[in-house]
Amino acid sequence: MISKLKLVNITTPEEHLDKLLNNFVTFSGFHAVDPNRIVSTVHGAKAYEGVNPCEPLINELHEIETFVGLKFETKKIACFTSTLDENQAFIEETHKKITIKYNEIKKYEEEIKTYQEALYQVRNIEDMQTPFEDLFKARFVALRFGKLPVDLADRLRFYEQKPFIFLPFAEKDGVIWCLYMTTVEYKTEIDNIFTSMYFERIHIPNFVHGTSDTASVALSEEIARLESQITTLKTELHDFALTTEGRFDETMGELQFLSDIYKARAHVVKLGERVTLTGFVEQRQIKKFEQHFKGMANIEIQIQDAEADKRFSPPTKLTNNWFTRPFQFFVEMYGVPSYHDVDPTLMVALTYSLLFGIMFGDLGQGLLLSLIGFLLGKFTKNVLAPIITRVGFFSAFFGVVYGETFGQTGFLKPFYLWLSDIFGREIHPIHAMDNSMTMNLLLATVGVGSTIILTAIIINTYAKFKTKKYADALFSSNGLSGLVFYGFIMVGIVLQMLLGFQNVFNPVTIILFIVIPIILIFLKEPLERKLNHHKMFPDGIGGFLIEGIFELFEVVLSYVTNTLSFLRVGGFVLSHAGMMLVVATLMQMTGGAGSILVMILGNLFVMGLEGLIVGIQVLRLEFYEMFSRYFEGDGNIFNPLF
Amino acid sequence: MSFVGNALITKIKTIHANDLKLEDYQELLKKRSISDVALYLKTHSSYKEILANIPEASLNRSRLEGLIKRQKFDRTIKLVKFLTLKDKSFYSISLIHMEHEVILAMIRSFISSDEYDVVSQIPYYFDRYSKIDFVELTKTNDMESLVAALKGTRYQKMLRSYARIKNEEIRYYEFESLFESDYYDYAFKQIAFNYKGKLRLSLENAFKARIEMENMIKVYRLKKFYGVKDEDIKAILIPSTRIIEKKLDEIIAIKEPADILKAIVASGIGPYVDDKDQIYLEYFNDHLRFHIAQKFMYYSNAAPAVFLAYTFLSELEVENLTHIIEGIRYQIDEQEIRTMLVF
Repeated sequence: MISKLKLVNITTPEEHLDKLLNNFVTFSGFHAVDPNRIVSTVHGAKAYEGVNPCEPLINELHEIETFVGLKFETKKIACFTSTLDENQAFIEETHKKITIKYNEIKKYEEEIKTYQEALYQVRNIEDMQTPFEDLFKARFVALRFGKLPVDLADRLRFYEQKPFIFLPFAEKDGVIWCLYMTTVEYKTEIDNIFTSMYFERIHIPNFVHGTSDTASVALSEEIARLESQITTLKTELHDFALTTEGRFDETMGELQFLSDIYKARAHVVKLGERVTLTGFVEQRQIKKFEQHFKGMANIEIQIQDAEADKRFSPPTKLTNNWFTRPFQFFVEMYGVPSYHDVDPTLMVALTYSLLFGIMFGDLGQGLLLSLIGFLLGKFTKNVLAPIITRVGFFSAFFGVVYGETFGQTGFLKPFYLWLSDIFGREIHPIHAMDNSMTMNLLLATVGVGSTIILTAIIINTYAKFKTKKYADALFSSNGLSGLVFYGFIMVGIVLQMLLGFQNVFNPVTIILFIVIPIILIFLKEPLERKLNHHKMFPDGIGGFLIEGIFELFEVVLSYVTNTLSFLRVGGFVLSHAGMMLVVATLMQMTGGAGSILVMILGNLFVMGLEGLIVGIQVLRLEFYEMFSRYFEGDGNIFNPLF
Repeated sequence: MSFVGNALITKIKTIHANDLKLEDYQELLKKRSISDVALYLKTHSSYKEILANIPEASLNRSRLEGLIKRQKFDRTIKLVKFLTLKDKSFYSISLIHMEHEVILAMIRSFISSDEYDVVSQIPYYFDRYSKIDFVELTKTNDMESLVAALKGTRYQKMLRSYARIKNEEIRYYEFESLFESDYYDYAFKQIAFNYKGKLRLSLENAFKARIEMENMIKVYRLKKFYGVKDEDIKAILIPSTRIIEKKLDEIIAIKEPADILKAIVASGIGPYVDDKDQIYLEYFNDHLRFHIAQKFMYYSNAAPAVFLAYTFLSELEVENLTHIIEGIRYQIDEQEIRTMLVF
């Protein structure tokens, strides 16, 4: 549901602004209005500058956090112990000290990277017994170690006639680790060829002597030495930060607090000698809000209805229970309802869970899905996890209805025997693949769809009456006229074709429940103009008729397509049953222990593939078939400052 | 239209949907270094695969340009390989164009100094799709050895009469024209062989419009940079039936190269090009190609036309990116780079 809000003004003399803000920033749940709305409409009103000098300092502190590997706590403060300038000086000085050591660490890390590359290269030629110094001192042969991009190595075949030897060692991350040799005479030409192929040379450091074994040892030792230096530097940085950690926490706390004050100040409007903060607070929070400022002198709080001031549109705060709350995500994905609209979350939660359950009915898979959703929610912040948990239970319920557990029908047989005993007659699960059942199943899903569409129209009619949009409520295809037209046809079909009532569609009912509503839908716009005391046909009747006929055709067509769209629900029931039948057949073909493996893999495959498709398809039904009838999503979200 | 044709159109449009768009170019124009461009392309669905393992800091101008060309080539090959159509030969048109580029690169190397590394200038990865022996070709150093290396290909016959020309006597523009003619001959032959009716006409017109534009650019260039005589110019131009000979003669007869620009605008191509784009003559051709391609891509339901549009748009994307990269490399103003782009 949508929370009731109140429009609140807090006013105080300008000299008490800091005191007001000090207290204000500790209240959470105040959605401030745009001060420019007031400034542009009230002569002499001014807004405060929005510059927040604390933000760069807070960013600098976060950078220091990264350098020293600590997370500073934002200490809650009662009063300021340092000025902004003092905090700034402290941060700058500390940052400078830390940066020197930090840069040293970076330098060592770079060196380590170079030596690691050299080490990797040296290990590639571990069989070579010639000392490195001999290789590099050779008078007639030039030797280059390095990396060559894999995609360019193919070009080497064009240089077969050139005087060089190319030795690839290993391929890793898109490059070939290699060496090439040539004579001193052709060095320049061959170097040019390799440079044109983006050959990246790896220099073996000067301190490396001897064969590859000894070179490996020397390089490993050097890397270890640098790593130990980095550890020392990091410890020093960490220790330094720890000694001043209290100060960091305090500074962070002060800056954060001050930053909040600047953030709130940007919403203050000054008129004459007085300043005002205007915003929305939840009605149920109003007492708490008044209590928060109780005892403060020179403060005036004015509480009005949310729509008391036409300059501000009230934002929307969705409040839902534990079951429906996760589905708010889907609603917000589409848009936020406006303050006066109906919150569609309950409808989404019920229809989404129901349709998913019908389309993905399996006791075992449903319960497993719920477990996965629960674990996903417990260990990650995935917004879909609680939805998965909920729809899993619906899936399990319909699994019982279909008598399926991980695609097997035997598991629930005792349950159905027990049910038959209780009711004294045979009760069977619904088998989607039974020939006698298929058509009924498809018709039933269309029935479910029609009911959902009718509910959507009822919600829309209610919402339009609530917001006093009478023309929409009475004459629109999603209003009363649409409800009578579509509802009569659907109920009529059920009565006449399924329940055997005769003559439901007779001239009287057709005129009353089909012709009149359709004429009203057709004339909706002129009637709306009439209700607003305007001319019914300002652009003439001819143009209206042509446009109106096309629109009416589209409206009628949309009833048909929206209804038939729910056939997919039945389609997926069949598809799920079909896929599980394939798994069962494969299990029979495999036999023995293999059949268990097929069962596990088959179920996982079906869950992964079909779970995803069904999830998307139901969302599509929500957005296209339902939201398009009753939900506009043009509201603003309630976004409190703190 | 066949189902294969429909499938091909779907595949082309899917690939094209991943090509760079207006907003991508706007972002790329703001970049001030090659590595920034590479970083941006790395996040783009079209280029992320080819740039995945390459650290953007290690990329320089020519390497990045090479990778962009390679990516476009891979995509085109994917399409050509996908085909099992009767008219497959028409779709090989972009491969013919690449073969020409390789041979022309070799001829350029004969004119240039000894240190010219021709291998780095050619799309060597393309050799498995061509009858030309690239390894043998790159070993050549004059027209005679080139003609010999082209054994078994139709190019040997085409170039045989030039075999005795010495390197210093090579007139490059003659070869450019020769291969251009070959390209269009191939295109028209394939169109005539495979298609009929409206489709044939629209494909032919697309090529003819391009020929006319290229002819005019050629007239301009030959007059301005090479000082070629009017009668020699006419011999080099590719014949096109759309433009009457008299009009072509009039353009060739224009004394001042700059006036050719005005004649082009007056010839009816002007409407394709905005005022701000009329800075470089060469870009007229790009704009023309772009408009033809856009028309085919969005309105045609014939696979060959959509494919042709894709090849035109791919070429333009490579050229656009090259302009951006070169512009950044030579620190050219963002606005000026923009004038060179067509999108």
